[in-house]
Amino acid sequence: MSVETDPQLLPEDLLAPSPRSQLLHRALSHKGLLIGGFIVGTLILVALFAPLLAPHDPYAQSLAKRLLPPAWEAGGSWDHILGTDQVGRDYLSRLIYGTQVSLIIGFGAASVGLVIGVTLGVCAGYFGGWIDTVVSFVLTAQLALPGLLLAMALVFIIGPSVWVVIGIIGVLHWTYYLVVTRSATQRLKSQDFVAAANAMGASRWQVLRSEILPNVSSQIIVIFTFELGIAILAESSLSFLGVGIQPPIPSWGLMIAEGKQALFFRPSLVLFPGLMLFLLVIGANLLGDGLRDVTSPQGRN
Amino acid sequence: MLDNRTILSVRDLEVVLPTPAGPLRAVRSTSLDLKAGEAIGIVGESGSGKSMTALALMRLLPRNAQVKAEAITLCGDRLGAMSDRQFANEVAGQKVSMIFQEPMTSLNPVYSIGRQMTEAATRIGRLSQAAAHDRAIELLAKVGIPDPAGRLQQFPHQLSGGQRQRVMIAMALMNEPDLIIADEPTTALDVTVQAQIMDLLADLRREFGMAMILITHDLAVVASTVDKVAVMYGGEIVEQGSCDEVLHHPLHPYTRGLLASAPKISDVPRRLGAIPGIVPSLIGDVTYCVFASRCPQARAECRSQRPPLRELGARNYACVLTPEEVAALPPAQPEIEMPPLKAAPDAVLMQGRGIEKVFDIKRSIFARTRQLHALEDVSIDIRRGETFALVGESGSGKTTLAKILLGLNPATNGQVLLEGEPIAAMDRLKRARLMQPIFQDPYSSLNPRHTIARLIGRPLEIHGIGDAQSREAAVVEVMERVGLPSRVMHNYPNQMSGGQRQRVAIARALVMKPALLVCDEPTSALDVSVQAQILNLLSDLQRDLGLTYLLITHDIGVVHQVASRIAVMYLGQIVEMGDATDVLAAPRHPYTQLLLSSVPELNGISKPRRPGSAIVSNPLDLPSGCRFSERCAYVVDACRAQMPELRPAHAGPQLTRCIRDEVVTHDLS
Amino acid sequence: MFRYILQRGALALAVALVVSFATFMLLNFASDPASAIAGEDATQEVVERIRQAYGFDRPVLVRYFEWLGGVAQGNFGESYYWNKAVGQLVLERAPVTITLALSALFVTIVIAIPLGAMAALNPNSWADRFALTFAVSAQAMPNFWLGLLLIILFGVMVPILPISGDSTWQHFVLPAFVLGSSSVPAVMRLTRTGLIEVMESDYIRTARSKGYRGLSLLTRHAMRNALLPVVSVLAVQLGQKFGGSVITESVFAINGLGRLALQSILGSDIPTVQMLIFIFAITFVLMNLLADLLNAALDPRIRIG
Repeated sequence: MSVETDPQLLPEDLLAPSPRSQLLHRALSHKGLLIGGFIVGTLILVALFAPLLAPHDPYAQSLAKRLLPPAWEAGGSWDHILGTDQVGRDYLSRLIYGTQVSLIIGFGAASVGLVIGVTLGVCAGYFGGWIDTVVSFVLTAQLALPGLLLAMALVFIIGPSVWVVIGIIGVLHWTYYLVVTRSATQRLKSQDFVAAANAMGASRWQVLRSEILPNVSSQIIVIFTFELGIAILAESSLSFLGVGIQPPIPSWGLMIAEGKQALFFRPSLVLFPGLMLFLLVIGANLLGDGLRDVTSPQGRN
Repeated sequence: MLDNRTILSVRDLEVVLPTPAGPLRAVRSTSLDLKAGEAIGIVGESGSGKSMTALALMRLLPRNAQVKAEAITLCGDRLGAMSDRQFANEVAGQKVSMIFQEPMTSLNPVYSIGRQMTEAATRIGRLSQAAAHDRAIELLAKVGIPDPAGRLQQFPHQLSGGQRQRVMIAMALMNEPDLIIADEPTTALDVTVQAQIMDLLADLRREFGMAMILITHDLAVVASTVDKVAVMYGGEIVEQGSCDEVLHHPLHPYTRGLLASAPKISDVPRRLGAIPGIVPSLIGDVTYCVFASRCPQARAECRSQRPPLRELGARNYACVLTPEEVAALPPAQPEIEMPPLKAAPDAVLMQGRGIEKVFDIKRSIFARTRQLHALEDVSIDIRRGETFALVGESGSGKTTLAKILLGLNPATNGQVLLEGEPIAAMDRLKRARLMQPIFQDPYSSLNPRHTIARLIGRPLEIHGIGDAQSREAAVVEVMERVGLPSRVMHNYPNQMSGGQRQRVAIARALVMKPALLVCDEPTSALDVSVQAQILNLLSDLQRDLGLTYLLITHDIGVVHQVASRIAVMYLGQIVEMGDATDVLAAPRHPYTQLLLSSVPELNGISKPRRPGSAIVSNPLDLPSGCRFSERCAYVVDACRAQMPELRPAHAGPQLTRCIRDEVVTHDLS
Repeated sequence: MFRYILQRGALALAVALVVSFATFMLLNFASDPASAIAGEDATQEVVERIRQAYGFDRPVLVRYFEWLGGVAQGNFGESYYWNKAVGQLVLERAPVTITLALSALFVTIVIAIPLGAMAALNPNSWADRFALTFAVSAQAMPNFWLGLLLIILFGVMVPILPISGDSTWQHFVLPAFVLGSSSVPAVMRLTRTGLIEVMESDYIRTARSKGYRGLSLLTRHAMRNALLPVVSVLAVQLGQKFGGSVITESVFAINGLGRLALQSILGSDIPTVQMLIFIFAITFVLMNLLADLLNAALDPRIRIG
């Protein structure tokens, strides 16, 4: 054997740690990611253990205890820490159960959008040609539609339920997935490792599965996190306008609409559900920002 | 204009870049002196700190970089004491101008050429708008841009790469600087354009009496252009002296290795003297000789203390070896001749017959379709056991042809036969077992998500060969063959250097034991010392395994080193084809002559440049008749009347696509 | 250049047609306009009579082309709910919404672009961190909740601005801020990343080598390039402001198109909803067209192909 082995290539001379340990290192040193992860994680736990955490039945009305203030205000009681609403339901319990509604709809709608957007995006990017032209046109048309208005009309006409809301929000929120996966796939398709796989005799499916998808997966996860927040906000808007989740289900947007009647008299009814929404969405966005920073090796943005 | 005034003096320049792993000492104790009108070449491989040095002088480093120097003096002004504002207002663009590597991106796309040229002079009120306008026209004419007044209204995207670099040069001259810094000014350009740009720089330097710092990785470019050379390695100048002395009597082991690893053009190819290993990390204090880890002459003291700086008159080098000791060393390039393997004419492995490729170019759905004839009438035979080189500049169609020969893209017309079977009809798995590619960029050709073992074993997986255990054994075997230790098999591509990655790509291609490797610019993304490792490896593999290579390249040096037969391509056609020795020694087509005479040579003797314009015809608007007719110095009316055939040359065994080759040949001798 | 305009215009027309067709189909398949007009207590017989009287028994494709023909002639249909021509309804309400959308865009530009530029020029500084925190918070803020918070603030605590209605310019301050702030994160981030990218580009290095620095570098070399993508996004955001007016107008009780849309949906007034969705989509398409033209004017690579 006349080949000279590269003598320098000792394990300690490798240029960088493995991708996985680099990722972990970057993730653990990213403050926003940790905070966002903590918020979202905690709220997922709250949703899962809502029956254990809620002090009262969120649906139990009590006319005698209507519009109680939070415990720390005059007239409040520690039995209803955050007070009660117009029909005397415990506000803290409703907020806790509201976490379930937001998260179910957020995850559901973001998943529906993911399936549509990623399928279209990868196909358009990989096959190009007329498929790409058609998909781009559909994208332009979808962007032109006033999403909120159409969602309101459709939910109202079809009849509001959690599944309808998930379906409609999901069907109207896939453009972000499409745009990103399409351009990522186009970029990857022109990479030599895809040409190498073709030259090895790999089938289209093998190329998509082993060469393309592993390289767009991190971007898809990042978008999913952002879409989670967007879907949660969309649901709350629909419910606030009365064309989303219907009473008596404790949706935060709906609770704000109900609390609006007593806006000046009992502002806490509007403040608390809004704060919960704000917290959950900011958590999801911080997580998304963080994941993007950590997974794109160029660093920020 | 030459005088002996020193216009630039740099003493102990240091550049430190903060990185997450610690301070990276990218440039260390670098000193330079430059007299008025003198040119110095700073030569080094990637990571040597040569560009950092230039950027530090121009104050163009990122904000977080720390630059220190004992003294930087330009025309008597102490630059070190200047504020950034003062530097910008009095020095940048006036006393010193810079030309950058990437002409395609170095001009602002949204402003006209005229505005970008004149602003350098009008900004500081040096010239009036009208005077600056006139001067811009004058300079554009001087750098060889046709219709200079019209060009001022145009925008960068309307110009070719070579023209943009000419505009950059003209722009740098607006304020008649004392010093011009050219950072790899021709690296992004084709060799015929490079030759003309380098000539232009030399002429202008003489005319304006400017000093120049030329930064390049290419020793041969330096050889014919500058007075002095500084060789940088690992952030330091390891050797400095007159161009002739450094290139022909190198004293530092790194310079010796670097010269030994560059393919030579003029003699029988010898085994290249590769420098093993990679550039060490420069994080933290450097209290040792930076080259010690790769130096064949390294001693214990080299690893524990800085080498002495030895001064010999006007030259110096930093090494423990005395000049006498250096003189006694064995040659850095082994005296092993490695003539490229020849093959029997009847042992044809792959055949291309009348290949044509037409792309329909459509800017939008409403624009009319234009046809781009990327390939026309291409026929080649590749014989078992030889290295067949497709040579051409950008736009020649060589990469399109490679994709077609690999079966990755269909041809519009014509046929590719692999072992006599049409490739279009061949089962893709069978095709893959006969032929594998190696691509140019080892950063793009390896999926970053897979481990080395998975990458190399992937073809076996796709073909369903063996089980997990036997695949791993096959991977280990092929890794050993390409010089990769098996312990890296669970690592990822991002953990390896460019040369190591290219070894992985070669291992992946070899694991199927193919007969033919299609190598598309296999070394052009690599440093010259690493290129030598890979070229040696490819030669060894060919001899050991009886492989056939199809090599696609623009690099004449590489062709000379490994090719047995050559096809020269120009604008989608083969213009000359034959045995490498015949074509390289006595080219018969005017384009081949222009191409070969444009290649700079290490010995620095400038060859008579063959005539021909550097402006390539628009592939969407080809000239009638011979495609080279617009650039050709021998053109007659008959050339434009009809497309010439590829036919045997009148004097010489090769084929040529020129109707006047007897005139061309006569002219050469 | 002429070809470019033609091409963009044709695309805009095609998008408008497809969008109108899709919404017409969606709304007409999902709902029964006859029973909506008849009201909840109507008998099957009454509903059937209304269906025939209004022609709802004919195929949906026929009705679509009839509708499209009407739109082409300026006949936007009749609202069952308001008992008025839809065109007249829209004309009455449009000025308020246009005022709101434009002032919201103004708010977006004034906040987002300086903030983005400041962040980009001093990466990792306190300005950058402030801008990013602001973006993350604004992105997570439910629009209607922000409106309600401002109503609490200005209705009770510092009553210096009106909190509902649309009679004076002061009435538009809070709604414009709410509607405008929703676009700040996207525009701010784009300005920031765009400008950072431009500042790291080769041609900025060239400009610096000519002695440009500081403000002159920004205004004479970087800003135009960085603003190219921002122009497109601003147009998209302005187009979305119309759709977004639904929430703002209902929170601040502004009688514009958004509030009309909500009222029409709750009144099952399909012709009005259909027309509003169409109008919003057309607005969006026109804004995009405008952005394309602006980009062509700013970018010679588009202007001179």
